[in-house]
Amino acid sequence: MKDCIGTVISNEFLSDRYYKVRLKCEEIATTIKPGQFVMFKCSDGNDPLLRRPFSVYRYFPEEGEIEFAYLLKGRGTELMTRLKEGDQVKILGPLGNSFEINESTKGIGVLGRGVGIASVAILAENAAKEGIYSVAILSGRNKGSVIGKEFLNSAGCDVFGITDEEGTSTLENIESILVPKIESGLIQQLYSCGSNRMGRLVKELSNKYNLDSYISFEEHMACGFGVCKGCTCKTKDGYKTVCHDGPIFRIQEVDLE
Amino acid sequence: MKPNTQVKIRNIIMKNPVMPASGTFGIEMKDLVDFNKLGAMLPKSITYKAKDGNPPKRVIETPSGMLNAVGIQNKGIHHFIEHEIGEFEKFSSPLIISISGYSTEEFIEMVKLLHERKGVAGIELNISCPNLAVGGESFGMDPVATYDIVRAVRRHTDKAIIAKLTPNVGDVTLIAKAAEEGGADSVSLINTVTAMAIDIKTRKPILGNITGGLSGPAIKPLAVRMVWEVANTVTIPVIGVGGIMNASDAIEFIIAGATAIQVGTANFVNPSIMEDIILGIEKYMVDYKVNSIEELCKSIITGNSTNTCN
Repeated sequence: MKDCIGTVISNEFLSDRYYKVRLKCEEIATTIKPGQFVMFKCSDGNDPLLRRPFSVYRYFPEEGEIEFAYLLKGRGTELMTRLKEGDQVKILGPLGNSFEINESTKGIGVLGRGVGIASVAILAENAAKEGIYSVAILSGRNKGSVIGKEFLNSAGCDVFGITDEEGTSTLENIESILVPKIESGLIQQLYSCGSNRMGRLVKELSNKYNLDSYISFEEHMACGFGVCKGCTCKTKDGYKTVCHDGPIFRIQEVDLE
Repeated sequence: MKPNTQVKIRNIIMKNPVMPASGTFGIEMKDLVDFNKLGAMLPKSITYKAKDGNPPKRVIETPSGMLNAVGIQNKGIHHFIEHEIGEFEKFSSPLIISISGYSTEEFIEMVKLLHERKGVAGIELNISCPNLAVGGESFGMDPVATYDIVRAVRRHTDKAIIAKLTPNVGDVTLIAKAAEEGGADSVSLINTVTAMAIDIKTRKPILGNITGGLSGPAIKPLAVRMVWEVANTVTIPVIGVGGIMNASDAIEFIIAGATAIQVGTANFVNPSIMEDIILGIEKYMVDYKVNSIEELCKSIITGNSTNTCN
């Protein structure tokens, strides 16, 4: 964990309300792991005051570059959309734990919804590149909010874009994609981010088929490094911090109500 | 020449007036800020028994500030002494432990335990928590309760005792005076300002605890005023806290009457900020030819203006 300066390489509109910023920041690009995040200072002043957490969307250690996908939501992200090439931003990281794939695992199912896709896409991409069968179920309210389809396709993932608009984002549909792959032994682990509803399905399937599955949480944070105890989730062992104990938790350990 | 930034609170000699505010500093920050450079270290408040803390949401951002209702999530003083305190004692800066209790007995038991500990230089009493024995009003909201609690713990230690005062009172100087008379070596103020926020879509309070404490730059002018009032009332050193984001803010508190200052919310935004503030104070002292913090403390020039209605 280090407080670094990143230089903006590009900052582009993706689709719907989604944007992507690419930074040059060797220290973080060479140390961050899938699932980890940084605390991003969106402006110099006191408004917004706190940094914003962003999971790594993609990283390029050789170039020393790192990408964050973000959803235009409030004042902090509105200021982020104004970043231009050459601007410098403070980023603290890498923070939190990372996704792990068990050695015996032959295939994984990765489920992301909305901006939650930004947290899990890299896991699907890396797995596919390492020759692990990787199903990516990308859910959004419309086609524009399903990000990452192209690069996950070219990485060799089995990609399913599902939307509310088309009526394909139902739990029944997700189940019909996953269950045959689980039953035929293609998938041994599931990873989810961005929807508690989807998380509950992952939990249910993991219980039924004895899968070692994980969920990544998104929470409002003040510090990002475990001191303020502000971002908590309920677990079997009481409240845990999303930033420091997580953001990734074994799905059976957490309360998703 | 490097200016003399040393300050003293009872027998605690601080090499500079900068320390963290409780709840905003932890061992997790040891790679981000040099603990040995701080005037003092002050980890998060500890309670007698372990506390789960409040249900989420616990923090939200508000204009130039943040609201929190964490609820002092901690593993209790015995766990703290066995497993955590040693990590802080490895550093050379004086260690001040913030404690919070729900009864006089809890405060006394904690002070006794900390008194035995060589590595502890001082104890800050977080008296903003409800006193369950008297129906839940916090000790710090009543001058008599404040006097009694400080006097009760004073008997059990000669280590420095700092009473942390809540701003959620009519006249903070009465509480400060009561703490001084009870035997406090210093008062720190202000704790967070009780506040709330509502989600207009759901009409529900945003914080799980309904109300929380406001901190950050939004409360700084309120804190400066209260520090100034208290510094005019008591003779013990005052520790200023509330929305300090940089050296200028810290210097403002010192001029108002603070001997030392605490940095809170700013640690979340910039975990190395205390080092910057220390350097900024030194630079100011050189630029303005100030020889010591003592010389700067309470150096406010009010002239002939009278303090009447605004």
